[in-house]
Amino acid sequence: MKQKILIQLILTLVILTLSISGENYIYKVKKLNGEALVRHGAKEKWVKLSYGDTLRPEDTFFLDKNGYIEIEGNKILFKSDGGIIINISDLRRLTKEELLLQLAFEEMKSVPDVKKDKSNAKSTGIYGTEIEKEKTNLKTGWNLTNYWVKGVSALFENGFYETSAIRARNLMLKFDELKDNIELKMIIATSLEKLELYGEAISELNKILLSSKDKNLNARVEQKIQELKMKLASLRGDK
Amino acid sequence: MKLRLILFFTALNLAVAQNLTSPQTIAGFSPFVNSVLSSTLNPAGLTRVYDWNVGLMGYYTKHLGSGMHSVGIAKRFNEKQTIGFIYSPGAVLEFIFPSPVSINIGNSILNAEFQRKIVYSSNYAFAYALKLSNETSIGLSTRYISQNFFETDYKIQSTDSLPNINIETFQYKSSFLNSKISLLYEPSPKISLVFTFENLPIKLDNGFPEKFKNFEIDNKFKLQTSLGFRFRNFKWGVEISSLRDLLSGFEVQPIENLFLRCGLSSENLKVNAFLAGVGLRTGIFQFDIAYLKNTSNIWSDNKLTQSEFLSSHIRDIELNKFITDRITFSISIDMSRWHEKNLRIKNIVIQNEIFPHLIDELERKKIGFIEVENISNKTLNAKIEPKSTLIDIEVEPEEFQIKPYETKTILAYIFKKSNNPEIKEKTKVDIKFDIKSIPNVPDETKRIKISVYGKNDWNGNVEDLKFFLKFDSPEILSLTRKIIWERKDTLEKIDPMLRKFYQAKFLFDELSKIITYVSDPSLSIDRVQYPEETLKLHTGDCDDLAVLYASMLGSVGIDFAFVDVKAMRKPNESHVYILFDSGIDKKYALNITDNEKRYTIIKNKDGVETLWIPIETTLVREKFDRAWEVGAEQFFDDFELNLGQTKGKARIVFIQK
Repeated sequence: MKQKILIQLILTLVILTLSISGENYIYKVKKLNGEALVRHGAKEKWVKLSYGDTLRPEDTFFLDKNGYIEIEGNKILFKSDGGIIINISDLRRLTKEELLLQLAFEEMKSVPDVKKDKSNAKSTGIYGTEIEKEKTNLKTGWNLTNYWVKGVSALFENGFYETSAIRARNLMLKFDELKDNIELKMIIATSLEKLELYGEAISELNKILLSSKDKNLNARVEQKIQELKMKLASLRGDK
Repeated sequence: MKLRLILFFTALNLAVAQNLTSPQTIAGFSPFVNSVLSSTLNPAGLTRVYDWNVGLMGYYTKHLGSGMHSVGIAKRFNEKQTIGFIYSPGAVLEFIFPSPVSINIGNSILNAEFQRKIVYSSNYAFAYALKLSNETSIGLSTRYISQNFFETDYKIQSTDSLPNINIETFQYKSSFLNSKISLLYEPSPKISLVFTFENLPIKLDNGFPEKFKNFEIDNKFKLQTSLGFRFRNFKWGVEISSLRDLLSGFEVQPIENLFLRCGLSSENLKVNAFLAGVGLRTGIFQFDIAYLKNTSNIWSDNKLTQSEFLSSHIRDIELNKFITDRITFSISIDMSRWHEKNLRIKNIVIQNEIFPHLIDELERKKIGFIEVENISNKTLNAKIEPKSTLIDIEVEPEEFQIKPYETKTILAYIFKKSNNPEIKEKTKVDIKFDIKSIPNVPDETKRIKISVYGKNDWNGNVEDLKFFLKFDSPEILSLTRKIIWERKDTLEKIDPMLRKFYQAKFLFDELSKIITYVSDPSLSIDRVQYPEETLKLHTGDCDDLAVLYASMLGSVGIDFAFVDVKAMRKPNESHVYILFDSGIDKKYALNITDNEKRYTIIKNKDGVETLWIPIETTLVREKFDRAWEVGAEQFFDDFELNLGQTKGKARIVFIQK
């Protein structure tokens, strides 16, 4: 009888430990002011987000302009003012290697490595090849892109440099209206600088110089590049 | 009456017909053995017999005149094994020791003469050789040895007058099998090393009576190490044994097909024989003649006493210090071999598992290589002829020039022909490679066995799923065209930018009516159904359904990729789902979804950044929208949340039609 109780006790402890460790991957809304919405996974609908709700890594939340939120979980505390959209999966730190590889993956998607295999097929698609040439009457643009950009800033301000850089690159790829967004480009460069990836940061700043015609901005960027070059030289000297 | 017996053993020896096995070989030539007659020296050398080898050997000595010594035949019956048999009526060694007896009878002496005769023979030999690898061979030879001892005995019985003398002759017989194991190692064509374990006897009887044991052949175990070097037209061999025998000889080839040889044999560092020989090769025939000069002191007085004989035990009937000067001659015939072997296959590396259906028609796939070495001293035009059943093998280049002692690597390809029989199950297939320096007769033939998989077997490489795709099969074309035709009115009303997306949706929704997902059976090798097979069976696992849906997309001109996920959710789990190009420019994404997680942006082959839609094809029963939602969640999990691409656990495999 005593043995049974002991086994039950051990099992309960194991289950409790597992459930507590599982909690690490669940985030909780600790403070919330203003209107907030959440979208679970790949679902289309947004639903109301309230104080005390749990959030999972696959969720995305929206916070109205005048709002304020604090999210806790997975050993982090995220604080931000409103006007943001954030993927919960971005509330984490990555290694430098993971960051650089994930940035490279985002780049790669824009130039897929299509294998030049010979085809067995001789058919063409129905309505296939000429579709692009027909005129479309579809609407374009997103209303919420600014919320995404602010979300990336919030990530950066909360010290999630890796995910802010990756998300910035991802947004520039996904949303046409953000492809030349200077704020996102600067966030990528600054995040890389914060992580002491000076060479990569210089490379990102050079991209800005190539695409920007704003003299003031370019002057600032050039100055930043010089600073980073000195830091890089100093870093190499130390080694 | 007191009798005094005086026995005299005088020596007048008649030693007969011994031989150095073959005049093809000179002392120290074990590493170069390549014929049946010499195979008892180093049986492993039999592996050098190409097909059939027949040899006939004779001898001439001053005392005995000429006679046949041996006839032998060897056959290589597969790539690795050769056997040989030798009958040697002349392998006989005979000693007769006259025994005069003087009997004093009073004042008179009675002289009587008896004979003690010892005959050793080795009339039968069997040899077997096995090639363990390209460099190593092992051989066994066993000889039947018989020993006969003839003794004359007498008894003297005193009588009142003359003593009564009874004379009686006794014969003692003994026989045994004497074996030899040799290990031949050839790290390069220039060096051969042989380790020989000699005198491994199996007794067939109890031997001679105890008082005559001294006359038995000495079977003392002997380990012999032989080393042979080849330098273009020169060969040199040296052998040393644990019984302090040292043999050495060399051969030069002043002109093609003529061989001059010379060597010596020593025991306890005393040279006891000198040998010289000449060989001539023409066509399939080789003629050899050799002269042996016994340089030991045993015959210095032309006599051999019994005490001298007993002090020098006979260990080998073929080579011992009692052999007399002689000439041996032989003819060796290599049937099916009209020329010296000039090429050899040094190495073959061929995939041992082949998926022939994973090869495009009219395209060939590299499956390995063959290293061919020219072991001759002349430049050759070489040719490799591969032969196999069920599959077609090609080599490139098929014909090539190869310089003396050069090694060339020739690539081997598998080639798919439409008239090949369909392989349904995994099958063992023989592949034979003949290398030739002249037409018709191969210098060497190598056979290997490989496994050829059945038409539905899949090696697990997601790239290779493309070989299961059938965009043009009648079943797929008929199905996709029917679906699109039935919805042509709807499609015409849809904005052109969205038509591919809706085509893909309609195809999937229709599929959901006729196909069900079944989980993968646990097999050691994955099997993939061709799309028409899945349509026929109405069921399939994730690979089958991905292949079916990809074939349908491809047949209507929609680009797609396989998403290959390994060990992401469970350690041994592999999963495949589909990512297709909706053709929708990313700026119009809002027209199909509000959620940016439901697609990924990829620049297509035309340079346009379009929305690529992930579809979990196993959810075929739940229709397109659900399969898209789950596919999108998985894609997000695999590539963003779990950094699958970064960790090498998830990747997008683009397939271009």
